[in-house]
Amino acid sequence: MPKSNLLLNKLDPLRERHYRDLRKKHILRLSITYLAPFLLLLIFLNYEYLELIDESENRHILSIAESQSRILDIYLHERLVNLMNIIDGPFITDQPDNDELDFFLKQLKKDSDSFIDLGFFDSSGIQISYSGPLKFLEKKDYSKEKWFNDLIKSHNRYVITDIYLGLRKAPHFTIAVKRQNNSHLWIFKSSLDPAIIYRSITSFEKSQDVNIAIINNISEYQLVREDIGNLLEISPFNPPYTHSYGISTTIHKNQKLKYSYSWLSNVNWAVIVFPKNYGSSLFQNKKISNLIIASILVIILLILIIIFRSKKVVEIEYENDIVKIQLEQASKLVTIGELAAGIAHEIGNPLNIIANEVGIMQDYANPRFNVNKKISDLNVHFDKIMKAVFRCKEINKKLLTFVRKHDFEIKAHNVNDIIEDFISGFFEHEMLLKNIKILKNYEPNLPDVMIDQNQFRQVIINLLNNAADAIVPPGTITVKTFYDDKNVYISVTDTGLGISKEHIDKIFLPFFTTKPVGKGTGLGLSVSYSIIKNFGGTITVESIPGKGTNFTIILPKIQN
Amino acid sequence: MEKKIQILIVDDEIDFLDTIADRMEMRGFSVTKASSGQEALDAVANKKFDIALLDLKMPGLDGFEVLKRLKKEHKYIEVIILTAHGSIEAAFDTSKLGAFGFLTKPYDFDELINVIKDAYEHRLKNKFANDPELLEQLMEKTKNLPLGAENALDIIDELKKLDNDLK
Repeated sequence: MPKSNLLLNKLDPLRERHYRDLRKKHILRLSITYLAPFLLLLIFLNYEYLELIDESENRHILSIAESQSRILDIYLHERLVNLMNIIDGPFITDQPDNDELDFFLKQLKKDSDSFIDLGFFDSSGIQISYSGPLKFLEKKDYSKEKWFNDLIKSHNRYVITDIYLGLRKAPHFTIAVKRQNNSHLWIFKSSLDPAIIYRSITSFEKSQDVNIAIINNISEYQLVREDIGNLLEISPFNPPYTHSYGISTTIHKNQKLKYSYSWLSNVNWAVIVFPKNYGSSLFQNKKISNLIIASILVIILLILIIIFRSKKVVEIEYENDIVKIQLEQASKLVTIGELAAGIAHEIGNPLNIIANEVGIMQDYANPRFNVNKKISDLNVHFDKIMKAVFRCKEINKKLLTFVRKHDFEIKAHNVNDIIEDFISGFFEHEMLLKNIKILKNYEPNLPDVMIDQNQFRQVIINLLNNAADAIVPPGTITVKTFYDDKNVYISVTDTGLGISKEHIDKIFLPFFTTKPVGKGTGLGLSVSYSIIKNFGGTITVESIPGKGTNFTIILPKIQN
Repeated sequence: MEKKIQILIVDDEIDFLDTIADRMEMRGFSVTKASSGQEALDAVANKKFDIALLDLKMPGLDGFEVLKRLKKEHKYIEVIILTAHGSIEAAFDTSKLGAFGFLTKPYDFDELINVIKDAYEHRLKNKFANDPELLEQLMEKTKNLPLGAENALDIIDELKKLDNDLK
């Protein structure tokens, strides 16, 4: 803004500071209006986003737990059905021997690799016959085993045990089924290798960001990777039995850990799923960072906009001020122009007297007139000349108070003094010549107001000149000052033509004038208004067309 | 004895009024002073004047108003405007109202005297031109005069004498 810079150089440091403060204020205001809602929105969105992430993560791990538990259920159910088919099949004898069991085991292995062996028991709990790798288990008494007692007592026809190491020191679990026919009881028991289950789960784990483990109803690990825990060790997971599946939390390695669980229906096992990087969320890291980058970009953009906008606002303000200053100067010139005619008259008269007095003394000195005068007779003429000279000097002094460049200075003034100074200075006499009477009604105890004397004087001159212009002589201008708790009032009332309704809204607009071309610039009232606004006051106007107009300047009283 | 030219001076500046009256009297004019428009109108009601010197800006009745009334009620009085308010508009307006001259203060006294003389001659010509009886008397008195450039001034002198005789 080269033009503005040029003008800015003319401004004093006080104004420069004013614009700096203004800019700061605008930046602050814009920051509050733009940034604060955005940050609130960001916090809200972040919260919502985390909630969403949390929820989708929950759904994710829950769906894995559910699907894995269903797969396990189906698997176990199939194995159960395999055994049921044998015990209920047409080839079963009352006392199946080892050969018979070998035949059955071969059939079972066709259905699934996980069948390790097969044993036949009677109601006493003795393993009567056996087929499988551990021949020493034949004839062994199982009557004290938990699974055996459970099965005998159970109204279910099967029992599936937890996984245990057992005599063979390898993890396995057992499925036992019974068949009651009259008084005859068959019990078949088969050990199963959990490796297949284990493989399917770990291969599933590999492709996911989750850990999967299986626990039993007393929280012991049934299937688990070694880095998480050991078989039959107590796990930190304690899913409630009341729900078949859900989300729960536990403390693991001193950290809060969220996990999903899903109970199997055939056996008291639960599939547990939890994020691999427990402690932080599954998706959070990558996507949150995207959100942060986007937010930072938006904030930078907003800050740039705020800086640019506040600069622009200050520039506009500044240009308005420049225009205002120019208007004030223009109006000052107008005021002076209006005064000039009056002043010419005021100076012309004493000059005329001087010329006349000198002329008569020339006459005395002229032999043609043959006048006999003593020097002392001339004193009356000298006195008149001196009187006229001092009249000119007085006018000169007053004129200079208008023309001289004043520094703008707002301080406490009694407006009565300023008004009276102007009115008694020129105005009253000029109005007398125009046959306009000035009525002055000053409040003697008028409180001071904070104004710049010269600007205020300009406003008064303007209002009084307008009042005089409105009057078709003879007329009266009444100047009155008064005050209340808050304000000081200066009222100027004329008995002039008044202002019509359609004009009264526009009179404070720049360049609005009803005076003939060349007589008024239309700046006076608008500049007056802006000057009084600058002092923290206002100007009101009331007019009755044909009767007259009242302008009232309202200025705030200085509060102690 | 030749009758003096009767002058009315109207101005609200008393200091000016006294001095100019003295100077005019020293030059053989008969002067009446009026310090306001009303005083001027009162004066013309009681006395016949040849010339009025009139200020424009005065409290009460201003110069324009006084000029209008003088020209309306006293046909042959010549008015010279003498004002500090020397705008072209004012000069134009007063001339339309019938003022003979327009001088701005401060003015040159000799110039004023010349304007007064011109105004007086103008008044005489005007008066005779509009009055057939006076014109006939004039023709009677001047019929023996030879025609020539320098004789024009003699005619004016004759007019003055005639006007004085008539007063």
